[in-house]
Amino acid sequence: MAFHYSAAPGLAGAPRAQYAVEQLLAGPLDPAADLLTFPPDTRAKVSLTNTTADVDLSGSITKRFSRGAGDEAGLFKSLTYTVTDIPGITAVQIRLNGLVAPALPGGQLELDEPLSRTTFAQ
Amino acid sequence: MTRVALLVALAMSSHVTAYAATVTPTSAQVWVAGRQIPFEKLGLAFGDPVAQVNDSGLNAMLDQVAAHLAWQPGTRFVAITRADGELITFTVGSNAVSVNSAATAIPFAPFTQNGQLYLPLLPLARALGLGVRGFHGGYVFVPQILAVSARQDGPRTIVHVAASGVISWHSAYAAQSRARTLSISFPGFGTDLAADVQNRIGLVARGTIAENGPPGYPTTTLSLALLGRASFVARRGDGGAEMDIVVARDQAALKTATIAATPSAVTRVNTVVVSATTLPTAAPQGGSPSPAAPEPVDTSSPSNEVPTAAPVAEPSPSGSPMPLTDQKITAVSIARVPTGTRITLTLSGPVSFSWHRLGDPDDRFWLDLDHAVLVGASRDLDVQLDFIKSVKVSQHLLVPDKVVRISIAPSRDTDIRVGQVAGTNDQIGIEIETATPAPDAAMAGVGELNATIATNASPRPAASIQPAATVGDLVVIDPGHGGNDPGSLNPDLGLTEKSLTLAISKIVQNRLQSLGWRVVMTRDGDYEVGDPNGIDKQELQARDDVANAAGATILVSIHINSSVSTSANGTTTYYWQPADKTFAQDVQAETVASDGIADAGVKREDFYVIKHAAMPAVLVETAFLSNAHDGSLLQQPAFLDRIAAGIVKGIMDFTGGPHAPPPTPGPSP
Repeated sequence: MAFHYSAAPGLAGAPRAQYAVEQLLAGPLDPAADLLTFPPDTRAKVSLTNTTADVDLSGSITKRFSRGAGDEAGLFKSLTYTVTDIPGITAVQIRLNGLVAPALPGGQLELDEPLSRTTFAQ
Repeated sequence: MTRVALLVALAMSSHVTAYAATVTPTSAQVWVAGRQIPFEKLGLAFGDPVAQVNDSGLNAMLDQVAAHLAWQPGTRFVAITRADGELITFTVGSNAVSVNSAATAIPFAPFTQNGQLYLPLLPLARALGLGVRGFHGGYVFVPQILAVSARQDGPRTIVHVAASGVISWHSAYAAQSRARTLSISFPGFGTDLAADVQNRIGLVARGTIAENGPPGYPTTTLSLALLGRASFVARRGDGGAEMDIVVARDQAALKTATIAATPSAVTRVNTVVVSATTLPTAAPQGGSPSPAAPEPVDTSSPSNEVPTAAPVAEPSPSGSPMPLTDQKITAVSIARVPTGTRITLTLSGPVSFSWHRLGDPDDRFWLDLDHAVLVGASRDLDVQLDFIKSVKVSQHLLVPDKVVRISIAPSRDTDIRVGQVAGTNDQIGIEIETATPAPDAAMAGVGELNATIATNASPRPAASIQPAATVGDLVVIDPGHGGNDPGSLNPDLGLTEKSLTLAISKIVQNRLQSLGWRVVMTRDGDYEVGDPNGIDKQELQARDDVANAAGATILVSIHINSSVSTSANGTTTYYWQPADKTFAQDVQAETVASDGIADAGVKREDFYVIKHAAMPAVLVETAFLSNAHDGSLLQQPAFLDRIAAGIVKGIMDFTGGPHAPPPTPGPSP
């Protein structure tokens, strides 16, 4: 279910992470693809502190998440894998409208600590 | 006034000789509200205790219950205002006492002898609303909790308590054997109220009241079962004999300025205007009234009545749930001091504390530090004193406030003093005195440590909290979502996750209880477990707080799954701690076997509720609301029952049943 995009060549660091996250949020080109996607109004601002990308989300997902925990884990796994695919980035700190929160409203995944690939390792 | 004075004089002259009672001195003791009252001349007349109206002991007795006596020498009326403002009148020669104009017969009338007016004490105590309890050495008069009522006022539920003495109280909040319970204890108060006070009103699901402890100094405890997490303030009003316990979900609703005053059922006489010069002025009709006839008292006379102002809203120092920074107890040490042994607690910042000491025969002592977190495990201290059986330091409460308790069990009456250690600003000392306490040694106290040192408190102290001791037959069930969080939705089927999780959880609860488990639900209705308007909005941590504070053996969080992929279906059980994988496998296997839908497997995910639980914890996503097949089954109560039965079997498989030794929890991350 998890799905991640490769970033555009020619960019590096925070701009590359921003580009990659925007591509992920935009969803697949084929609208019929049965893929896990963020709500269409989700926006992100990405910055970088050392090796942790700070992904500040806005949109309806920060107000209410009413899908299951499996989708939620899958979404954030795809986001984490996408960003940590970029050299020099090992973790993602999620923010909701600028603030670190324990979880999405209505969500289950812990978001107040950085996510990394080991977070999702079975 | 002239006419009245003349009639009073006539009445006096016609009745003095009619009551030539014999007063014999007695060594009987009188105790009121836990204190012995020294009378100058306590006597017995007709076998019952009597005291002269100007005996300092009588005034001390009335002071104990905030009542006031007014009497003008030479007159036949004695007026006493109770703490609640009701007016009591005794009349020389009258076999009745009048309480706010309602007369009650008494065994014998007040009388005069050698120019002294004698009052019978037992009818006085009863008129004051005190419980009269004899003991072999005399009389104990116990203030009573007289009435408890509840009403809803907008977002607030207000529980009103009326007593026959100045109310003092301790509050405690627990989420243990039942859902959240707010307990208000009234030390020194008895009650004759029935155990069940109220059915559900507002946020209060049920109220119970019970008297415990020795009859001479009982403690009455009012327990309010709350529907969901709530904040409260307690405030005294109207002379101190009444209080309001105000409960609301939202702390802003507790601001006293927004609360309407308690409606007064009766117009009350203000205590300060009753004096010797404004005694009730109703005169007896005719010159020779029957001794049994009550003397009506005209309380509507403007000369002695002032309508009472609204009760003064007085925030309780112990009841205010204002958010404060939690401080850590970073060190506990023991040292000899000249008068005994000192336990020193080192703190990361300012805290307030309260302590209590019980008298013989139960000599226990406890000190509660509010908004405090114990670093490290609960522990027993060895103070090496032969009269101290045990000293424990523990995290007593986690919700709504974090409280660390130091409890000391002596084998004899022991004086224990608490205070800031001189010369420090971050240490509280608890001194166990070698000498036995003086008779008047304090039994309770409060204080503050005004530390000014910089603090480095973690924003998430929960991770370092030691949970309550595990209870082998206690399960916490967490029905996912609730209140303003509906979880996933299927409008076509008219189903919401929050109502399905609650329905399944209630079946699980019933089935577990029938197997001998005790079950705590994080919620038992449609509401948020955390404060939806709270500063932290930590809804998931609030659910863990319930489980951790209760010391549950296991936690099961119950959910309904949903996906953008309508083909996703089946049951999934999640765990986080590696040691909980077996638990997840047990629940998954039994749930799938029982509910008959697809086995979507056991998965490990970083889910908040299962990660921050101090005991084995799993989260079951029982079926997909977004899937046509699963969704249609979720409409059927029989399917919900099959899910619940499977979860219960999984719990039984993993635990071996209630009372079994708790399974080894996984290591903390």
